[in-house]
Amino acid sequence: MTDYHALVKTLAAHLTADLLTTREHSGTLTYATFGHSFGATLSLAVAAAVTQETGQPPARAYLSAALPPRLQPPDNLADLPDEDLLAKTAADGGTPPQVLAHPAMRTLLLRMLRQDHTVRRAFPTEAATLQTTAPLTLIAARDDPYAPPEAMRQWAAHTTGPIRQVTIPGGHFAAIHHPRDTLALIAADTTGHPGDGTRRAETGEPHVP
Amino acid sequence: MTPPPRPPLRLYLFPHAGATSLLYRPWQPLAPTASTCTASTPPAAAPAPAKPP
Repeated sequence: MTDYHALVKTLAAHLTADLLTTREHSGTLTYATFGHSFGATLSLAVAAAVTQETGQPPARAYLSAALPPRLQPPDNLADLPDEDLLAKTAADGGTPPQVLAHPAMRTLLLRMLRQDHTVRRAFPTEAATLQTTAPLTLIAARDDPYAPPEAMRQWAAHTTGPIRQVTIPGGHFAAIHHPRDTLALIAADTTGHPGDGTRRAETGEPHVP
Repeated sequence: MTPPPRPPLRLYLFPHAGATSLLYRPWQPLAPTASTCTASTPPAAAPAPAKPP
């Protein structure tokens, strides 16, 4: 699926159904979203659509390694030849070498990359007015060349809720490569307990716009 | 006084461009109620929390 609005609508419908089913089982339910890079903008857009549908915003939305939509540069990666797109993906370091080395997996990867990068073309315009009431936690990696911590702060314009920014060590994929630490951050917000993460994170002051 | 337990949290995970739900497989043992959402994977990868007794 390469249409931004259609993708948001489809994922929001699936998520709403899943949420309502889960609520039937547990009686009560809170949910949160975590999106990394491309997934960050998409997650907030889906959360906004689910909120509109159910009246229930996420307890918190976690945005990792992504610029706010209006700061995102034009994405023309879907137009790259296969070899160039694979080279860029390998250089970024987020894809396991085994996937890049396997012909069938490479074919699947290329298809998904082109699909997602086509969707992302719409972010700077279509997601620029995205708004939520949910609290946001911004997870920024100190050495991320694509989403520097200072620029990530500008996600504050997208919520009327409180903002917390956490700076972690590492590069663009740091939050993904250290799930225990990232989940500890989430646990700290959602349960009041810091979890058992071991890497150091710098937590910014809470900010209520 | 002990605060009342918080309700279970359902965590929806959205990966980076080109990634599938496999990206978050290492997260599942650490977050059993997490579910991954991609363009090709609807959020149904994790079981719903058990009904309370």
